[in-house]
Amino acid sequence: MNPSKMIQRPSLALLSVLAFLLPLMASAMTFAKPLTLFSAIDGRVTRAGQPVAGARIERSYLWHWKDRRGKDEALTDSRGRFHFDPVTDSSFTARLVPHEPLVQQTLVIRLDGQEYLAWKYSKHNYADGGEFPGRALHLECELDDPESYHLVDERAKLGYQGICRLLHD
Amino acid sequence: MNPLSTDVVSVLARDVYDVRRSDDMSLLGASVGEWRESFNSPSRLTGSSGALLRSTTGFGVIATGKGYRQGEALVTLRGTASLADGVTDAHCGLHIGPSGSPVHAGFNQTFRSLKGQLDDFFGHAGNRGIRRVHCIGHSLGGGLATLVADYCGERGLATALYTFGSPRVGLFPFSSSLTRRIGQENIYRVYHSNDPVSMVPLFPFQHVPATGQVIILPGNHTAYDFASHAMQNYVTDLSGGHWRALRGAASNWLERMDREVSRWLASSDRSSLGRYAGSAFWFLSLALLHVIKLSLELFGAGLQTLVTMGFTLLDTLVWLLQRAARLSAEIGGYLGRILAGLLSLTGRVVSGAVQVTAAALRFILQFLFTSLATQVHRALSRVHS
Repeated sequence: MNPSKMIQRPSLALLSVLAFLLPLMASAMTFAKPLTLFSAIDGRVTRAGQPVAGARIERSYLWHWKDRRGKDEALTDSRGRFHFDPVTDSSFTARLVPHEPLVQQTLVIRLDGQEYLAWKYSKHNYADGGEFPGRALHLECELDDPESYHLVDERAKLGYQGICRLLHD
Repeated sequence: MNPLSTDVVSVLARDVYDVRRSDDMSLLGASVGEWRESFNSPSRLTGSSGALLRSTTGFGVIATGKGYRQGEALVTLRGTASLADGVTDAHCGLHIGPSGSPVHAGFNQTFRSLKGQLDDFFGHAGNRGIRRVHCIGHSLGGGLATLVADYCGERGLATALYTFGSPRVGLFPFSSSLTRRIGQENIYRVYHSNDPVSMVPLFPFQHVPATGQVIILPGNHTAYDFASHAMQNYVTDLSGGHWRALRGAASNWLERMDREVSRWLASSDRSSLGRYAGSAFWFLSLALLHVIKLSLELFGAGLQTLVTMGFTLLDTLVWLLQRAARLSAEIGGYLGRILAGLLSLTGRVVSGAVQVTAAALRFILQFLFTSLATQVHRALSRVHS
């Protein structure tokens, strides 16, 4: 393997970086706006059509910009329902440096020693309600249903994996 | 070479980001049936990014074709997803790239961390029958895919390159030799007219293809906007499209813009340039180019003496345009219109004639040179929805 020669052009590097960064530093207030990593999500768990109470729902996510993982839980109530508030965060650098936003989201249902993948989705933006624009996340999770890929938006080629169905509003 | 469909390419360029921290590829390409039908299960490629503290993460996938894609392979690389990747992007000194031409240092370092895996893949006994490779990437991944295409070309493989919002990778020798080797018709460069990443690093870095068609999509958002760089917007804008039609549409749009610029310069149309949305600065840049060209034809003879007087490029252009404006009422009128157009985009309405002074010219030129930065600032200060 040939050793590579390095030709330094520090002025070019500086100019390109400055072209992005200089005027951005002027406006600190803009970076206060929160980033939505996981929009509010709720649902109902059933087995053979009957609501399941006391099922544990584990929500977890990985936010790639900061390599930050998060996890929280909820239990279904007597009507089989669960609810999670949105997960938001903030980052000065995320607003400053161009990158592809990525939050990998997972919801797992645990009941009687069994584990069911309810929801697996990759969010490529920081918008509130940005998973499927125009749709709130209401799930119907029938434990007897197989895990499958659900194509939600054919034009945008967006979908999720899991046993749950995403309800229409 | 039979290209991959727009949907397979754009969806893979988006979904490949998933492999950064895991080898779970269950969502990769799941929204496009053609992917699973024509390619075998992919393998994950790892690479390093960053500067002093380099981290190794999943950078892409590689797969072999089946059925009518037998004998083909596909490599998809991800772009910037973490701060370490951002540092890689900023490291744009020069290294010698795969085929011997100078290329972006940061991209090349990451490429070299992938290269051993490519050698293993193409050297593997079961893969000796591969004759054609498709290289795909978004953003930094587009830069890496370009280097992989260079590498594949060097190995004598028929190569197709598909990039989205890719930055520039090398200088002119790199871009012209890669274009010649793999063929301009096999290079599908897709970008929004207002995608700031596709405009860097600055000259003398140059894009691939060096000649031939590109797929420039009119920017829908105002001016330069990071939303125009988001991969999902490329997926949606290309959805269900076909390469030939997209190339044709892009060509038509560029020709139409050129004609509109000529028409606009010669008219007294005072309507806002805001109707061009993300392409307004593009429009003004084209208009200025028209005027510079015209001015050079008429008054360029005295330019050599300026060099000995120590004029910078900016000084020279100001001198040229001011002289042209003084000696030609037509050119003076055009420059006035460009200035008024620029002012209207920054929210300042101008009534009456605009004075084309040296200061005004300097303002136009500096604004257009720095407009990238200014508009990035403006884009980020809007509500990011």
